[in-house]
Amino acid sequence: MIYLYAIIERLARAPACVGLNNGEVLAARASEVAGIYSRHEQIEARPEPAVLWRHEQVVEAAMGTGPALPVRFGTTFADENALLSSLEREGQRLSQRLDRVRGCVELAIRVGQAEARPREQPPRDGRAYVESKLDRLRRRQAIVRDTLRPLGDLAVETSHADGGSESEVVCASYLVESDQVDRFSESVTHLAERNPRLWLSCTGPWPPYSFSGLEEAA
Amino acid sequence: MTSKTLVAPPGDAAVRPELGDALSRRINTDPEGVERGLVQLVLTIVELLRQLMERQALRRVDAGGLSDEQVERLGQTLRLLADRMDELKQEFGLEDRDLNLDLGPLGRLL
Repeated sequence: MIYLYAIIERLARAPACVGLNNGEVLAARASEVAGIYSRHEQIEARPEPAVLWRHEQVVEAAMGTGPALPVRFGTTFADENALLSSLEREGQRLSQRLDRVRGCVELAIRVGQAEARPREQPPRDGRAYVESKLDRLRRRQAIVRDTLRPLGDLAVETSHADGGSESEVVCASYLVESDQVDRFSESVTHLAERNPRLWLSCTGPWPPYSFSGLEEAA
Repeated sequence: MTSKTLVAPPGDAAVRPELGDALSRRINTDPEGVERGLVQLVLTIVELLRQLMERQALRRVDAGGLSDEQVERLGQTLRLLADRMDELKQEFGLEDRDLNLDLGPLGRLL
């Protein structure tokens, strides 16, 4: 069984590190891109911190040799041929994505309300229910459009999603050139100071998980 | 492990609890937990459909073109569905974060 960590340029060297279960990290080279993987008799990638970090370390080591598209944790193939077949099929598109993320990292932003909003009365009728939902949607759109706009100006590409809870309104990912990370981080601090009614967190730098385009291939 | 936090919110409370959430989104399939796991799986699918329907309905309302009566009926239906889901979650001791699945390369279901 093949466990896949990342996609790299066809001629880039495999990172000098060990993978899950101390497996040797190898490169499968297709005509346009290569896949960084380890071979296992059997593997169940359990989502535990140490295992997740090992996956992350291999991906980050791959980024040290050039642009890399991180593959989502837990991605496996039956064998090298299955992996190569997939890389051949998607090679052109993956190669373009590698160019897109070259020299960049991902920074993750989460935004929420600093203070719990007063508990709203249950909607009195159907229209009130719809309005309350639309209100949440518009608040999120306003945060993305207004509050987070300075961050978008520092990014090559952005991705936003609903935070999924009342306290966390927006999750956003930014593809940022590596030499802009400090500036981006300072900008987040500045935004947090200017918007005391919101809390902001920023984590990274991460491999460009949100910008790999691999979901489209799945 | 390397710290990845560049800017933390006051108290840092909003960042850390989510790691536990991210690591627990698997259906429990041991014999004792299989029934709860099955309920969790079924409710996750139902919640997915409910959210998809609600998002589509909100888009239609936001775009305009629906009569007051249509918006009212739509809202009532959505509210009843949300209330019923809350009741089911309470009945089986599940929270919002339990109704999600990590689909590997496809990302999270909800």
